[in-house]
Amino acid sequence: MVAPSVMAVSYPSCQKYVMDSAGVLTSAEIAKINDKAAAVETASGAEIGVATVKTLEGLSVEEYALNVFNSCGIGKHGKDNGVLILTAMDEHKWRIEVGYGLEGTINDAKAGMIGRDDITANFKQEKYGEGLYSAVDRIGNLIANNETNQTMTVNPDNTVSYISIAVSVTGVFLGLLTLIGSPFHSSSDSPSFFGDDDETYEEWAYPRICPFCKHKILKKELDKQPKQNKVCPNCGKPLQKIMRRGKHSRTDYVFVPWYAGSSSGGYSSGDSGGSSGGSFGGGSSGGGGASGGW
Amino acid sequence: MSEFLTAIAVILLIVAVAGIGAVAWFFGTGNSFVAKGLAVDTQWAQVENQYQRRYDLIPNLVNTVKGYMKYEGDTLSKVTALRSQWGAAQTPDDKIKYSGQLEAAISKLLVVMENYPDLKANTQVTALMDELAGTENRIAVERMRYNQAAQDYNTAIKMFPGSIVAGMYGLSPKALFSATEGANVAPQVNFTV
Repeated sequence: MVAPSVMAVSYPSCQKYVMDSAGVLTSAEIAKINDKAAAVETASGAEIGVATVKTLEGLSVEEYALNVFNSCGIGKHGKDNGVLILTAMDEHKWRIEVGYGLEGTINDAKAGMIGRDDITANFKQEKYGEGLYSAVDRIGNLIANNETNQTMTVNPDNTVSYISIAVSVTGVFLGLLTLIGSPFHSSSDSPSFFGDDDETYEEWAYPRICPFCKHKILKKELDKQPKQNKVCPNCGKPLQKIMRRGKHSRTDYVFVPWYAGSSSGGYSSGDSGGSSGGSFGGGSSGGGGASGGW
Repeated sequence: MSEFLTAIAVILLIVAVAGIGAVAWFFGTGNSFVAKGLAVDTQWAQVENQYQRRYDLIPNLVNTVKGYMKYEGDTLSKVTALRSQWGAAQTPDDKIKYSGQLEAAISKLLVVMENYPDLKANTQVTALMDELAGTENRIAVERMRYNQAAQDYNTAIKMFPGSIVAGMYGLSPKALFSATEGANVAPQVNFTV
């Protein structure tokens, strides 16, 4: 069994979130699905792609969907939290392809259920936009209800965590050395985190005022939230650490190791928020999901 | 006289540099073969991973559908027997052989199950069918990736001049997955009620 080469078959061009190359959706439906998928990405980072194609050109729907998923790179790189809903109009087949990172949240059985309930039922009545929207909606709800996305990636990122453990131990050690060594430095030397009260400092920390709704954020409100995904208590938008500069004050002192803050550089524009028309994050899938027809 | 010595010195220098370059290339190529070989082994482990997943799924499915499919005792018992045979297999060749037979039996079972409407209405059964079909797909994907990795490795060790290094290390090509006999024939389902 020789599979046709990837280059000979034509695939829809990749863009967030709806790729309607079969032309079965109205622009209003496309906008509605795009908004829903953008909301899901803003809330959880997961990327849902929706593609309609006229024909699978001889490939099985599993093979075609896998190729689209991995060449578009749906889901964040490393987290692999992507989902692709693909419908082939000539062959009357659909597939929901789930990335590695979401296989725990959306297992094959759930994907099959969503496909049969939302896609098969609606597509039989030629309600394409409605079917795809309700599928995206249900997938978004599943993801939202499972806050801890299991990252079952096969990237060798596990070695990075060992390195970061070693680095953090060294960092704490060096931090203690700085503490011990600080009496020997005058305040005109390089500033340390344990500096004098009237020294200025720089740190990566969550903002005190939400950039979206201007709500004043208290540290104890943030402490209640899980370590990774902090959101504004007022409007619920996700918060990222920003570089704060100011006078050192003992009451709101935050010890920030020297390597922290490298992951997020503030509110840079990019594809971290939900915006349609951009490119996907580079995630991959291993064949999880379900297929069916109508 | 001194030009002669200089010439000899230059020639020796060129030979030395060339020699160092050759040695570096030799070990560099050898290391790349090691890396590619490891990639193939890792991918094989992924294939076995998915085989194991299927192994764990099958008893559930067979037990759930047994009550509905009174006339399919043959198909079900065949699936169970092949599964046990795969579980008991020791060598990779045996595992591949039994796995291929198991796949044929499972695909036949899935086709047969399509024709029992009350089976399809049972959400537990459809969930298990989805999981099994998903696992079969994962196996196919991991096998495809294994074939890609093995092909990459085989090409590298066969192409000149890497083949010289491969010969010195004693590397042989890795086997690829080929379609099992009968895989291109769709299972025939006869209903004798």
